[in-house]
Amino acid sequence: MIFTKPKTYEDIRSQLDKNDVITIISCSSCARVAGTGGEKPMKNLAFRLRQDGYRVLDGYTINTVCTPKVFQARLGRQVNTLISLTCSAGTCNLEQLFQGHKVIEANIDIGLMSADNVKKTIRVEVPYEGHEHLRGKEYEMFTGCEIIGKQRTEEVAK
Amino acid sequence: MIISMRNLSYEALKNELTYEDKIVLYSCNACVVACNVGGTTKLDELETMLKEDGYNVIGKDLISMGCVSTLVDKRKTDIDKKRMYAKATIIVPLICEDGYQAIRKVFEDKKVIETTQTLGVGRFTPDRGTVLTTPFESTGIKKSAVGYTLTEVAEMANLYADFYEKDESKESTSEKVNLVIDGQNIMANKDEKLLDVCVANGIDIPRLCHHGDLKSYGACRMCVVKIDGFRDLAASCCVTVDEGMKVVTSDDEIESYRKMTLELLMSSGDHNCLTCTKGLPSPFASCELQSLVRSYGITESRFETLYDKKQEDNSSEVIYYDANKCILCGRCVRACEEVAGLSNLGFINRGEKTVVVSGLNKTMNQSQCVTCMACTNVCPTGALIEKVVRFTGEEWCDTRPLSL
Repeated sequence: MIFTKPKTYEDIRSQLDKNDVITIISCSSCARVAGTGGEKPMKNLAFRLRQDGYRVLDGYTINTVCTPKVFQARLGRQVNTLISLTCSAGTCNLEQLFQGHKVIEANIDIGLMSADNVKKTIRVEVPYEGHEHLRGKEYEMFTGCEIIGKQRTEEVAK
Repeated sequence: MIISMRNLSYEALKNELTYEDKIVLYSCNACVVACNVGGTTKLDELETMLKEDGYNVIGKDLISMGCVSTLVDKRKTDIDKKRMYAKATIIVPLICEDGYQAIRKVFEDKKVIETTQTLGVGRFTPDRGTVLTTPFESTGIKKSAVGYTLTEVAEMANLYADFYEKDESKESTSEKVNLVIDGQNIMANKDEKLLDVCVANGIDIPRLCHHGDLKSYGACRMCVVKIDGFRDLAASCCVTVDEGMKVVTSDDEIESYRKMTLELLMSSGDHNCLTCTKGLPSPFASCELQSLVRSYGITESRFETLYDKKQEDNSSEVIYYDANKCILCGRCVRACEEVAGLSNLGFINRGEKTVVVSGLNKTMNQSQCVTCMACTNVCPTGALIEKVVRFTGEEWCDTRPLSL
């Protein structure tokens, strides 16, 4: 599975315009396990953007956005912007399949991870260049909060 | 998806093995299948090649997601798998680097041979197949949203774009049998299943409970054939070919039997194709039941539709289960046991009240399901599907899965 971390809210907002009509596409495969996709992060982002005056029309959770299954998202005619809560492969897929739409990448790839459903943890196994220091680090499954000893840091989520 | 390619030639692989080794072939059933380096077919091909070259392959194991360590750990405790792995001296995994690390950790006492190189992540396209979009910097390949095809990547990274070629191994010495199927003389390997031999020879036999990734089960009775010397119609998925066997795969009696089976299935559940993603007109149509019903020209069932409405399970974030569309073929139950190694799904009750449930009759989200999708990948109807959910409105309410 692919481990991703979310970009900052400011980073996402800086790429948006008040005239944008937005659909959020959220991956319920790897990104959900890493805490950067699925229902909850999508809802949090949608509400925050709406509070700040952006027009977020709807959102979809789709398993494996890196495949043509993403066509199951039936975009409204007025939608011109997609926010991608996926790994880079999902974002590339959206860019290619929904050409003419502005696609905003909301996550960055950190590396490959393994998941332990008993301990509810994920572990970075093969990091991308620039993230080598995260090799072997463990995070809480579905939130992406780093596990330090028995504690966790709220470095993601918001 | 994670993009991995073969980095070991067949000769190099053989150099890692000895004739005394007890070899287990192991493959993930996720990304590597799209990369053409893993899956059931590749396991079968490699097993045949190694056996023909005299190596002792004692078993093979398909895992739904090799990067979920919970599933890999189960290989040590599952009653059938643990015996096989206990005997093994070498594991040959067809898996990405992520999965390789996981299997190596679980079986530290075994030699695990790395056969692939992981290059980064990519996507699946309908026209160009799997493409690499975000490579690791170490590969020297630049990031590209369009992506590089596997052939292009193989050239750039000096890897193999395809799987091992069958002609790299010695000629087959396995014992053969001769049989006659629908008047055709056919030669097959001894111990092969009759259904597999028919399919390999272009004779299509309808089936619902049979799946290439799973062991034979013989539940649906769609693949029945007539065999000389057999008292009744036999399920071809469960019959092993034998010397001199004479088989008829289709005649009026067999077709009428199959048609009746389909009508009974249609009358025993809610098979409304207009409200299901697995059926046409969806571009993702893959309903095997609908396909068979259409090919047999069934427009209505002779039997009265009598069934108690069963509970749907919408508790999981990614899987939706509708027991009313289930035909009790047992594919999901076997996939959860054989491929995932979890045995989280099972049958309860008897007769018309039989249903598939997760855990100890819990909802999916309360069970030990790891959402590896082994069950949804094999379900022949719309009973178990991957959820696509739309959220909208003031309260960001979730609609029912789009398929429903």
